[in-house]
Amino acid sequence: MTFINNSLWTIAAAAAIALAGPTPAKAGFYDGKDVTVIMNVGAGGGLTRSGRLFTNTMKNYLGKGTNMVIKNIAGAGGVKGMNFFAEKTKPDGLTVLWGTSQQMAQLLKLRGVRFDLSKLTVIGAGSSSYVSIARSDFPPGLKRAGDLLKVKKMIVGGRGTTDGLGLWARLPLLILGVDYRYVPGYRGQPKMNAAIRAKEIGLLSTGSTGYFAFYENTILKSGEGTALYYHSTLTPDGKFSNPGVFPPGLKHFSEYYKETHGGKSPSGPLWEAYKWISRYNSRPFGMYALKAVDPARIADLRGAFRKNLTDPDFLAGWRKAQKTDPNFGVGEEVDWLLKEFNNISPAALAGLKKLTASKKKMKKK
Amino acid sequence: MFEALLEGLFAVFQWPAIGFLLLGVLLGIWLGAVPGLGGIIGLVLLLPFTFGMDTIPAFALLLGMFAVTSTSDTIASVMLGIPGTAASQATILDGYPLAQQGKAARAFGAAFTVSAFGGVFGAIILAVSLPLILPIIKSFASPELFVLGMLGLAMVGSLSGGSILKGLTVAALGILLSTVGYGEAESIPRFHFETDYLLDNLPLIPVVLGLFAIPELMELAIRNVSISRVPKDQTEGGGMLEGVKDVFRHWWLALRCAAIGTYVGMLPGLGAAIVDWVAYGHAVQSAKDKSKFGFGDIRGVIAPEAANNATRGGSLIPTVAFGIPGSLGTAILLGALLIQGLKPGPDMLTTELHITFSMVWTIVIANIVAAGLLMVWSKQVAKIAFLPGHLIVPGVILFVFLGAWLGGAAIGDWISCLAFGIIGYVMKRGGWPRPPLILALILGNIMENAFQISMGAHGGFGWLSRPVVLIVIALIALTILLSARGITKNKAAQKADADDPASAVRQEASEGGARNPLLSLPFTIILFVLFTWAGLQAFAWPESVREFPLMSAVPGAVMVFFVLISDSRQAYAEIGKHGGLSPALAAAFDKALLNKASMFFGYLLVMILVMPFIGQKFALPLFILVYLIRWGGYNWRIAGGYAFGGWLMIVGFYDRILDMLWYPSWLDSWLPELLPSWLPRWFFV
Repeated sequence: MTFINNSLWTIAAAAAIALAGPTPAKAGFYDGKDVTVIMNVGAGGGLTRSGRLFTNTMKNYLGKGTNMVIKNIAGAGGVKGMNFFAEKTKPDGLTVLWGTSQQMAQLLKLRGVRFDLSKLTVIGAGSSSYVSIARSDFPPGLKRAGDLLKVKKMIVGGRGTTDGLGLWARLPLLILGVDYRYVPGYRGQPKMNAAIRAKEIGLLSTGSTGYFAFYENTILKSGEGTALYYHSTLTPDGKFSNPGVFPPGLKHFSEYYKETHGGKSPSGPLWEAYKWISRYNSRPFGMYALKAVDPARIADLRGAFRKNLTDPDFLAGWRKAQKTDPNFGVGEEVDWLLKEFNNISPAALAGLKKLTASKKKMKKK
Repeated sequence: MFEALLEGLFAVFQWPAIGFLLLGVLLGIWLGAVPGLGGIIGLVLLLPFTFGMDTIPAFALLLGMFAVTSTSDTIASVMLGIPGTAASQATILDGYPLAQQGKAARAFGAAFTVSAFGGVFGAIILAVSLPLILPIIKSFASPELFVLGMLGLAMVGSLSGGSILKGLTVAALGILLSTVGYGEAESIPRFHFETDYLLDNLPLIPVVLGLFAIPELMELAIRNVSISRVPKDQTEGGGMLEGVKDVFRHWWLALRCAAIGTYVGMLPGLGAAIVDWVAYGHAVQSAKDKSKFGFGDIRGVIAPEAANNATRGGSLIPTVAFGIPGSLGTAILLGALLIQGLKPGPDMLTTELHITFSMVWTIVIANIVAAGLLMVWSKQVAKIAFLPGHLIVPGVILFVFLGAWLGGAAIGDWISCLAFGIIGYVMKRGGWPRPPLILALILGNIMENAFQISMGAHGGFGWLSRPVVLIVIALIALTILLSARGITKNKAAQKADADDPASAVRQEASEGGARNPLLSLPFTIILFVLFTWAGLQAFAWPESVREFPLMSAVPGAVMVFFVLISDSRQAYAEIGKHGGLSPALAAAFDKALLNKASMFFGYLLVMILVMPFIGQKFALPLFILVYLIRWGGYNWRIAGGYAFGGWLMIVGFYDRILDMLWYPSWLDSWLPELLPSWLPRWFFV
């Protein structure tokens, strides 16, 4: 009995020493720690899915035994989660945000916005390209590029008045001079998919992931729908990038415009707004940290983010799920996203405000 | 097709798929049984584990879990009167009264049998009707969804208990509450009181848990009685086998409700949310003898349980075949499909048909296994109905408040839960039916969305002439007619039973059946003020934003005005009966157990107020400790052990497994710095 007691005491003492012992000198800050990843989008959507895929392998580059824990705080188009992140989290490097960057919400001073994007820094931001898709049988029938201009009243579906997909759908029509009626309220791509199939709407926009997931294999394959044009990032040298993932025949919107307007390039306030969106909304999601976080931690996070982009498991998972290669900018390469978005020309701002304005003014506040 | 059917079946039975399926079933049983958890949380939790898995084992795990949460959620609905998940809300209406009569085992027998039947039948119907699905979905656009929502609301008549006027008023309140937050067409938040919490819709889970769970728990706490009001040795006809036989007796109802579940379940955005209510309403309306509904009629358990399991299969095929998920759960499953590299589309019905069938088989097998396991266990679970109330209350409070917190991780969720707990108590004791509030809260949001889209897409009311819309409008008229006939019959039956004291007691205990005008009157006045204020507020908004608030506030104000007249008359009579206002009030408050109820709410309020300082990991165990010692009269050892068990549950399950986002408490701001590095901070904050 004494032997057992002594043995137990010895084991307990050894365990206590092992547990309470000094941390190894080479241990990293993130070793064994939980990093909370706030997502300002719902648990069921594509952005959460991509965030889960990303953090599933990124944690391995942050530290030994590091865990990245996802917490969805959705609502108000991402504003709720961003407010929470900016106001309630500590700048200890143990909380980051994965989601939409909300430049538009801050620029247009939407209700409920309390965060200030200048107090955030980018760990990494993802690029996306978009496609506008229409029903081929929408009167008078969309067979050739110019047919869209003959449409009397296109019915366009989207989420809300300020969301990116709705803007990608409407803005080109305004620039082309196509009359349309905008129908907001479709809460996500599956709802729009159902609506275009049921002929409730005639046109929508989707990101490249949605294009491959919902449309390429269904209404585009059967000819029920037609992809009109794509939208992509406006690079600093003023050119639109080619994402290289869409069928060769599909053109960028600017090319489509030229083709249907006798080679003339688009211009005016709405075109300025389009260019602004192409610059700032074409990297619509990513990982962000509070600027007040210790720079060494920011460097750790960016380093892990960068390494993860070449992780074979991540690449395989991403390609399988997204059907494209990952396209991310890391750290300083994309920090301008949160710094320069306020530098918008009055013409572009007027264009955006026109597009997102309430149909009727409120009688009071 | 037959080859794919068999290939899918064999694939599910291969290792490791079958192992993951069984694991999923076990997890699903737990997640469904605990109030506030459910299939969505399970999917979010399990999804990361499937990243590296093959397709069939991955879906065996996900679907095995997801398919059975709507079977095990019956446990909380029947035992506690708390919807285990959103899918089992209607089950409480007759399931809980059965438990109170000591017949929980019978309710379980019926529910589990019919759940398995519903799940299997739903899957078979789907497999058979694959070619019909796309035309059905295509013919149900927003106008059809809107009128289907109206049809759901027409069920209010079946859920209103004694007073149809009160039922309709409560439905108007539910619609009004559903308009909280941003409107569909404009970025203008409504009734949000400048808080982030209310920028979007009022979250459903805290409202449901508050409205149903807190009043029942309060009652158990005050009376310290067991859930069953009948001693165990005096229960008759309450065995599990009896429940199984009930399903065979009512096989035609089970079949109809499973069909309702399958087809309504596949409608995007509407199906899964209301299918149990639709099935319950159908059971009431199609019954010859409606008098026992709400008092423990087994048909009130069979109908929703057959439907909610059939829905799981119903919403799966449109998800995989067309990329059109019917609910949030299937939207997450769609995500899993994409992660697996599969694309929803015709391929899932042709080259990948064996995978689609393996999913259908997974649902079938999971439902049968879960029903079998629950049958074996539920005899033990049913014994909880005979435990003292004090031992049940604190543990369930823990689950209720953590369940309320899970969705939004905001203190507003706790405040909503308590606020709706108080509202639920007043409604229950004041003779206001609660189910129409929940039904309208769910439907209001869906209907407003569908209405705005219909108006926008069709440029006006042209959609009213669409064929399916016209058919559904005819069904609405028929439903209202049947409801009115049912209510007239019930009133006549009540009059005939007026001299029977047992009937009066039963009526008093039923949903919306309590008569306490002096408690109801202040609530009526508050509602009148609320509807009027909301209507006035709404006038300031653009048309598309104000339409729905006005559509509920104006009729709500008119209806509540008539309730006000009726309540005032009854209150006046009550005052006369007691010889003055003071004695009448004393009697009314006594009948409503107001003093004790206030104390109970006080306990919960203190817990909420303390939480920002010490965090949830201490506030909830502290509540358990204080409740058991001060209210329950238990000694320190029992109370301490129970509180420690609660803490273990919070830390072990909610923190470590669910990764819950905790409130950043005052303790969190300094305690971690003081802790030795080897001591995990998640023990405390």
